[in-house]
Amino acid sequence: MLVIRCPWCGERAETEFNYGGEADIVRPTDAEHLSDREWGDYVFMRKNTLGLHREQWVHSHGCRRWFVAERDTRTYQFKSYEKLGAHAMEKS
Amino acid sequence: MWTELDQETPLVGLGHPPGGFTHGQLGSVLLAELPFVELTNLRGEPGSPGFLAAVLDSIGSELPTTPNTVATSADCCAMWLAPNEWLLRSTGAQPTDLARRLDAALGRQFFAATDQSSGYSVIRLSGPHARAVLAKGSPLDLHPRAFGVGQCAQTLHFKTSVLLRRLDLAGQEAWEVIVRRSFADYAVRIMLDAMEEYLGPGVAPGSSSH
Repeated sequence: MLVIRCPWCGERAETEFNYGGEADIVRPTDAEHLSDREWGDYVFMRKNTLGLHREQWVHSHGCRRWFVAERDTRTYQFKSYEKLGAHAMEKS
Repeated sequence: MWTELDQETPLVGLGHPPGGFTHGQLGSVLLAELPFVELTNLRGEPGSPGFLAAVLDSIGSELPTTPNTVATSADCCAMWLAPNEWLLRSTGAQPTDLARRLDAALGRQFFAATDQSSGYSVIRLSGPHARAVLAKGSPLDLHPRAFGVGQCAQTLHFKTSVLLRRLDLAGQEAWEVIVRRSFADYAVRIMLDAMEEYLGPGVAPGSSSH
């Protein structure tokens, strides 16, 4: 079982969490001007990264917060964790 | 025609003594249901001006802002659920109408206070084997050095979500388990099974001695 560190609650067992897929996918603001292909890209297309992968997790049986984790898909080792929005705030 | 409504706890299937369901022995492990505890869910931004002070005024207790900690006052216990969410548990014998008091005190603040008394069941496990019984279903480290008095945690008990709070009852280790009403029967039956090895033969669920 993986031990995952929730940014609020600390280290908890994997069974308390649910996986939320690739992180940093931004909903297009001009959806009405998108072609079907571009919209399909946003909705369905995901990277299948070998190595470091930024992904979303939710502490479903704990504080129910979403956060972003960086995990190596080859070793399943978590490299870093951050609260949701922290990345966006740094960039702006 | 019915003129009175009988309030029933979700453990009615296990027997229905007036003070709530109990099983076990305090010298080993004792499970006791605390029926009809007043619980209020409070949401709000701790950073928003005046919010924490208004809550303190209204319920007499600070809101804990450190994750998974508890703050207590004379008649209320506030448990951290999330950065902007708390569960307030009345500790007095009478309901204190917390939700309405908060509504009145917080006025135009951005908040939500919701009475959830009928949505949850409160179970207390006490005695020297209480921790061992809980540990059978929990992925958390329940040892006192990791989980002390004044801490709470939302976690799993076998397949259901629970909120655990560590208590100290006159030097006796005890735990309070707050579980959704619809899972209470499941949670208690699986605890009864976990308790069996510490109680020895001949103690059937429903019988109890204090």
